[in-house]
Amino acid sequence: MMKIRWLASIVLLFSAFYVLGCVSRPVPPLRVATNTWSGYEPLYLARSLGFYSADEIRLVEMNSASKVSDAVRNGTVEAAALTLDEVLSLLQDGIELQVVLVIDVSNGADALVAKAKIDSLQDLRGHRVGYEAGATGAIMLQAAMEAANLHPRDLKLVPLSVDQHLSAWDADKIDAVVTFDPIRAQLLSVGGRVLFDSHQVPGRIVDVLVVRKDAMHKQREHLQRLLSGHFAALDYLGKSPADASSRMSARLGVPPAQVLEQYQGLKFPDCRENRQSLDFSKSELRGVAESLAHLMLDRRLLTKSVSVESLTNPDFLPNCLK
Amino acid sequence: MKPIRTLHIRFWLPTAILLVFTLSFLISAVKQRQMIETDIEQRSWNKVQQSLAATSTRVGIFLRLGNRGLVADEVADYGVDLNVEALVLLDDEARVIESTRRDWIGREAAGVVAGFDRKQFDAVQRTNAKRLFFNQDHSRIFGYQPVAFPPTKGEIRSNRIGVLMLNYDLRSEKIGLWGELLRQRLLIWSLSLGLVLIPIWIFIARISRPLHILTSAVRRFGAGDRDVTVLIEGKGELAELSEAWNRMHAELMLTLNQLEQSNENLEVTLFSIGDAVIATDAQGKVTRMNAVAQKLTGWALEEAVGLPMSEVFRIVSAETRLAASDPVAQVLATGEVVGLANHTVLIARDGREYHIADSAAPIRDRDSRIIGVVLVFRDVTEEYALRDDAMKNELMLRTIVETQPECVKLLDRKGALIQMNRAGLRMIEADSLEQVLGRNVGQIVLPAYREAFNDLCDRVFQGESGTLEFEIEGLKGGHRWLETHAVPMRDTQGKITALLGITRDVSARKQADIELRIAATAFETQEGIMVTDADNRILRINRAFSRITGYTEAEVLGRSPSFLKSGRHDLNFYREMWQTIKQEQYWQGEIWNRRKSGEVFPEWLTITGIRNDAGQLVNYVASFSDISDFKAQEAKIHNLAFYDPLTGLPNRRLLYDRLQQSLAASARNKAYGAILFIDLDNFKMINDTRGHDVGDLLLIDVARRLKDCVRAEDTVARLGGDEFVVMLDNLSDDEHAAGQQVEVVGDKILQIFSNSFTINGQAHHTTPSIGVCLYHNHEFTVDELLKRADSAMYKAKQSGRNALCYFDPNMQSALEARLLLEAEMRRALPLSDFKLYFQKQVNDAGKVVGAEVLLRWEHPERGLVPPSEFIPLAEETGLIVQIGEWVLEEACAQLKRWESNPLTSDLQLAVNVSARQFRQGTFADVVANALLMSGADPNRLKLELTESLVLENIEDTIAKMHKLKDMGVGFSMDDFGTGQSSLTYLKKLPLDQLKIDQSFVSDVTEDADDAIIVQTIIAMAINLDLDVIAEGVETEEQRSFLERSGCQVYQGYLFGRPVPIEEFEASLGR
Repeated sequence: MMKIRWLASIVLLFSAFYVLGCVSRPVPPLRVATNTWSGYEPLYLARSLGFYSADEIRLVEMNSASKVSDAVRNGTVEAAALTLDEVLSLLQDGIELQVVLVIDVSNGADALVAKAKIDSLQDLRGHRVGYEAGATGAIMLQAAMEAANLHPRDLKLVPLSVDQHLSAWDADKIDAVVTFDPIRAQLLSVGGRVLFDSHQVPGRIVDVLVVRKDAMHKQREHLQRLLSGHFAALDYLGKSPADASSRMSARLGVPPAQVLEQYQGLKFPDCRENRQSLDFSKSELRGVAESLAHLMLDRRLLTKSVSVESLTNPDFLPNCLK
Repeated sequence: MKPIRTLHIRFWLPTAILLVFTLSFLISAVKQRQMIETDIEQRSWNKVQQSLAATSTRVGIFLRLGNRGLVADEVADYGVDLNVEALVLLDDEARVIESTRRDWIGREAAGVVAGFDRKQFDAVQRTNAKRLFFNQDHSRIFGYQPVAFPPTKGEIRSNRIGVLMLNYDLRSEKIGLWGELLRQRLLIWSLSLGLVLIPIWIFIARISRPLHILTSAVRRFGAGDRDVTVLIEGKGELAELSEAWNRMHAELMLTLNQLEQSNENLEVTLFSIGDAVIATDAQGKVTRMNAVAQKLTGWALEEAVGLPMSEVFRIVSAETRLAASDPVAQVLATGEVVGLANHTVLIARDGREYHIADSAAPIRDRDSRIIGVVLVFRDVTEEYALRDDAMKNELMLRTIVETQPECVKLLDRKGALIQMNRAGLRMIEADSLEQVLGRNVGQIVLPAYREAFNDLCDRVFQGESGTLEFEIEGLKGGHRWLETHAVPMRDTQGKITALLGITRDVSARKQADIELRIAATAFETQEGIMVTDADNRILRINRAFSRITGYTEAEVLGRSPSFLKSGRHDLNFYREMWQTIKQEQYWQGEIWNRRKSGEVFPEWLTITGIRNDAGQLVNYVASFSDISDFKAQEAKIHNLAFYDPLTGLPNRRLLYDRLQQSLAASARNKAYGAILFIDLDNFKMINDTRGHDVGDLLLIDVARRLKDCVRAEDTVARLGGDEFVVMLDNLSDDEHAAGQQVEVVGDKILQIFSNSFTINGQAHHTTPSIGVCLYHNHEFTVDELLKRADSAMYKAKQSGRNALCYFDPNMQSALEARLLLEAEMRRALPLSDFKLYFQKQVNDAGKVVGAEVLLRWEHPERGLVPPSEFIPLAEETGLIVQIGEWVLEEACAQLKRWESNPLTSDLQLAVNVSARQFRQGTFADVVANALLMSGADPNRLKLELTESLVLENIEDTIAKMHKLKDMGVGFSMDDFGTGQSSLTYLKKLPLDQLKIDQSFVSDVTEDADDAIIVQTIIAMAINLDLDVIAEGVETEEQRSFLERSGCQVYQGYLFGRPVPIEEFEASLGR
């Protein structure tokens, strides 16, 4: 009798300690990298409104999309906000990740902005045009040239990462640039003119949130938090645009009034739309992704084809009607 | 032997090991954790240091290259590190240039960067050296790394220093630490624990089972199973134990057998005892009874065995008949020997009752555990009866002792209290006997008497008895006087066992004694005290009474104090005194009494009436003190207040007083008074030159002399210094007369100063300046009076001192006139200004028979001075004597001259003699001398005396008259009828002639009364054989009347006026 009792008590102690050890180890925060883009700003708005705590979610603020990409690639962050093309590049390199959220669809946010002296697209001929050497830039440029009936060799193309756009503009190293907000808005405020924007090619430029597969399970709760916070921030933006825009103004580097302007060029799918989009079997996102993959392959932005079969994962979206 | 404490091995051993293990595990875990923590901190520190340095360098380069993008990237990369809270690049003004939080860019670091410390920033700016430090709880590392800014345009090298600030959070690393640690070590712990525990278990088991066997064996044995042996083999301790048990078992069996044996023995013994014995087991059930017990309780042993004691041994309290407490139960409960309460009655089975005495005791085994109770009792009914009697006796004795009003006590050899009755306890103020039992009684005796007390105790214990009076302080502090009679108390052998003391409280008596003593002392005071009964008969006197009055007690007892009466107080005084006493039982006042010696003395007397409880007056107490001294003092004080100490004269105050009174009196009786202000002229000089002592003696002498000048009712006062005042009271009510009186006194005063004052053998002269002021009818106040007198005195001084001066100028001039006249009068005599005039005296035939000689003063300037003016003055000043003498001589000479002339040889001369003159002792001789010198015939000379003159000093008058009569001189009574002489008196005088006063003669024809008087006088004269002459005859009618009445000689204007000698002689011829 005593023996059993003893045995039992030891086992009890054992498990107690174990559990203690387990329980006391907390889950580290989810690192989400973004660059500075007004589309991603709702996440920062959510942070500013206190929807995210530093223990759950850390927004890693990078200065260029390429840095963000690298971060995902290297695994120094678990999640990131990227354009779809960037995602495909990563997939090509074998990085295992999934899209868990469609953040925004460019509807004018991406634009070709030219200096005042250039009146029309046609006038671009022979001028220096800066662009980010990524898919977005390529897509935009291509679309713009198509619209202007121009050929790449008609322009002097200057590859510039987005953080250089402004300084190059100021330094008069370029005459026009394919850029996006907030740089776009900033350039407009210094006299630039939009010659072509994504409004003219809707649905093509999509910004998404991706998560590395190896972090998904562990960071499940944080992810859910991230997403619900995003939607809540969008809600807030709709309901209190003034306050929202003043919060966002600092990071974006534009006055609050212009902040709202920029959102005119973006469309934010809500929870329901997201669910539709991410349900890959039926969504158009798949089509967009596939055609983009083609384009990139053509342009040698991708070196091998990628599969978009299991690109999306709607599991982290908050509950909303299907 | 102290029992060894054992533990439950099965439980405690594993537990102990477990505890030790866990404890060591935890300790090492803690230690480990600390180490890791430190390690984390150290590593983080290094990491931070390195990365900051590297970043700073790169940023510096990027800046120099102008590539902000790279800088931004560099900074942004830090965001990935979850430990990095924030990294910011600040310019030299602490503004954010780049940051892991883009919304901070452009803002002041202090405003947005959490944990930013300006001081550190400034320090880095100053020193251009990094600053790296932990926060307080080592949960963060802060790093400030300087960054070299590129030079701006125009600069060669930049002085601006940027700062990279890093906020590095260690918490996340630290947090999982503990759990991590535990989980890691847990496995090891449990493994090692298991490894240790298992062998122990086995080990225990080896011990446990044999122990169990042994335990159950013992238990069984204890339960009653005798036959228990243990079979455990081996070399170990347990085997030994088992061996030991077996041995013990054997011995135990032996002992038990022995016990049974002794039990039997006990039985036998019990039965043999004379007292009743009942034994019970540990539950109180009867196990044994002996025969006596069976007899007394009425129970047979066989029946009683196994029954509870209370059934067999039924006892009740003798008094209450309630069941007494069961001694057996008590013994079992307390383990102590229990004696039955007194008066316990055993009720036997058949109902018989016995008084019993008993005791119950526990039966213990060798280990002192109670295995039963043995109760022993016996029938004490008889004893009880005896005791009852004894108790009754004792109660009686006790009652006697206790109810004694006096203290009855017993003390032992050392003076400790053995016994004391209630009265005694009260005496010493004890609340109970217990309080004082065994204590030394001497403690409450006051120290003054303690020795005597102890001595008495000692003596009693040696066989003597004695008494003592002493004072005690009771336990509550009250003091009492006690009188004790102590005797030794002996036992049956005659040995002294205690002191028996009977003590009485004599405080009251003592108090009375004290009071008596006090009263006696009070009685013998300085004041005389006399106690009488209600009838005022003396009961007691004190010594002072005798001292003051001179009477002894024997002389006064029983008498009324009236023998003390001085006679100074009238009946009224005593009557009022007694009235006051009767009404108020009290009288106080001054009274003059008489000593035995006859001396009268003043007393301050207080008489108090004493009533008894019933309110009746039973005694009078008179107390008095001799206040003669007091009165003398009073007089002295009064004296001092009112009299000048040096001269004894009244002082200013008294003078004022008297002046007031005199003024008031003057107002009533209209008499005049006068004050003379006298100032000594050269006193100051004498005082200064001869000294104050001489001056004082002089003043005393002056005072004396002044007093001699005045009447007794006048006042001489000393105002102070050399000023004196004489108050002449009650002078004439005529101003002039008063003035003259004053002058007389004033003169006298001036006179007395004419003699020198002999002081200390030396002669001194001093003269007064006198100022006079008359007063009348309160017309002045005292002050005014004195002031006037003072100014009059001053005038006197001014006039040349040694003088008298009136305040009233009229008075003054009158005075001066008088003085002048006097002076002239003195001169008149030698200057022969006085002349004799002659007036005819005629008989009825018309013949001149003689003449009256009248003095006239022919003043060269004034002419004829009327005699009314100068004669009184002459009388006053005494000059009349000289003048009178001259008149006599001249008259005699004239007589002699007339002898030779037949016309005149028969004539007689009548000469007026003044009182003053006549009073002179030498008067007769003077007359005789004049006669002799002149050779005149005495028979011709007639001396005219006034009636009033004659009346004074009759003897002397008669003698002188006779003497002169013998010579042949004749006497005539002048102004007869106006005086107050009696007829018998007249008879004595050798008169020759009566002169009827002219006041009668003048209206003898008109006034019938005067006519009768004249006639009567004439008739009397004739009858007495005296000649009679009428004076102031002016008319014939008068003369004829007179003639008819029998008067034959006449003088008056009818016959002639007074004329000088020549005219007189000429008129004779006709």
